[in-house]
Amino acid sequence: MQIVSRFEAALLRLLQYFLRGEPIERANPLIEARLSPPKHLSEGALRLIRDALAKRCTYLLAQRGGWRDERFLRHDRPKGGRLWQRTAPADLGLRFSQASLNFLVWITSVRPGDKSPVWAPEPDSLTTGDLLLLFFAHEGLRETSETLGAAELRKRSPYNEHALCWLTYPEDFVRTPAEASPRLQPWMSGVGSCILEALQPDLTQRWVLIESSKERIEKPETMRLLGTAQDRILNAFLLACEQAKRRDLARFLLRAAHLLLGPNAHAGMWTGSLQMTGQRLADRAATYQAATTLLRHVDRLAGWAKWARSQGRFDDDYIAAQLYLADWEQYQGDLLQQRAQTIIRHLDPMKSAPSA
Amino acid sequence: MSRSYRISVRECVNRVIKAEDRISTQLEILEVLPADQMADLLARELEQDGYRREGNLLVKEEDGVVVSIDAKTGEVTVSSEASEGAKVEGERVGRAYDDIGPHAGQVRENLRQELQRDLEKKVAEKTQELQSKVTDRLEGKLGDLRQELDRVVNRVTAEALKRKAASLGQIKEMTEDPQSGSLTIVVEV
Repeated sequence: MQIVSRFEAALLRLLQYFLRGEPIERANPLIEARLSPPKHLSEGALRLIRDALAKRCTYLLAQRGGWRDERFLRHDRPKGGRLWQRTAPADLGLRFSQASLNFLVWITSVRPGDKSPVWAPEPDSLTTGDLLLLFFAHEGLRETSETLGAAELRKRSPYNEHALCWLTYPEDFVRTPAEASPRLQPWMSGVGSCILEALQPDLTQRWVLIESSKERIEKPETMRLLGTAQDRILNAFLLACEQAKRRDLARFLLRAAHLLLGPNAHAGMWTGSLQMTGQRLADRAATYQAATTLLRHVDRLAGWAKWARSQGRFDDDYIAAQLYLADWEQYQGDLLQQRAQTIIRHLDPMKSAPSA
Repeated sequence: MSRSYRISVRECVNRVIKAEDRISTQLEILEVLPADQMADLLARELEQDGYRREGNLLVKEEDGVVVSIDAKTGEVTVSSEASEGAKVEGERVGRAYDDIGPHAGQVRENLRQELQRDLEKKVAEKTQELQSKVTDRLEGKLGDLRQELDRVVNRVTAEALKRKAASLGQIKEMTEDPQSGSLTIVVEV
């Protein structure tokens, strides 16, 4: 049996909570507690932290989608199988730096909204493992009481630039300052892209959930903020996919669009509760535009399909293009684009104006 | 026995209030010919419809609504704005224990602040009224404008098709039905 100090026990329990090994009821009092950190963590505690990170992070990635038999690009060629079959386990190793430990010590000794003592790691110094831990921590902290200030934490670096958090929870970043932009580069290659592959089912589910929730939004301002946050991350993400030639990583958007844009999809599913009385036409248009952010990005995905069709057999990107086309066709991309356009047109005050 | 004094404050606010509204959309033009030729055709058709050139834009103003179209990108912006002078006045009455002493001053100051808030609210209401008028005016114009632009786009598409057909071979027959908007071109290649 390993004996640890009270602070270390709290830190370990919080870590377990972030890694979905403890319920929120046990984590909440610890997040509130503001325990005083010791000068050093004991060797035993460090061993337990290492053990938890190594086992639970891997387990969560496998459980959340890594187990699925799917095809993704490896060296510009599609490769099928489970995540650990597509990439050799040796290449899937996650490296955690001192920043992970510093974060755990910091979050155990403060409440998330606290500005002092400062926790501001240099974003460039964070490893993929650190970023993954921060992502799991974000998921845990967003469930805690608002008064603890998790929302404040998201406005600060490195969270305000954490692209995986943005992509999975865009609604949490509606108040992020315009100068902070999501950093996609860690997620487009190496282990980062493998993490993104493993999280595809969650990403699909999240985007379907967010889009479905729009039907209940009443305030135009709320819709505009949400749409802007979605637009920011989607623009950055799709551009990064193009640049990295990893269009397959955007598969979750196609899946989400496929689930949302069924044969009976209509504009009310996005704008049903909006209170537009007394709104200027300009504001109405901006609100509708925000409501249909994902639908408008289907056009960009259609542009990719057009690009894929234009690739000849001897072009460098031919095989990658064929994989994207297979996805596009599997999810009936052309039909989705048509349905998305119909809804967008319906909500365009200019195009839907009654004839005099 | 003490008596109270009646304190009355009057204020008048003169403001120029402004309201504006605008909306943008995209013309859906088929790329029958290269983009620059389609842009030229569109510009020509719009000029025939009473639009005037202003730099890269074609602009028309009617009933206080300005329509500007970028022929190259097909972006249409419809805007309307209005301004008017708004005069609002009001009076507030209160009571003080003295007529020119500190209490009267305090009461007068409080009344003035309350009155200012009332007047600002009235100005905001007037601005909102003006905004509604501008928005209604713009909205009322959209139906007509949509039809007008649909006609222009149809004419541009027809003209582009004629040119395309002519570039493919010799046009043998051409029938146009303005009612249904259909155009049949028989080309000998």
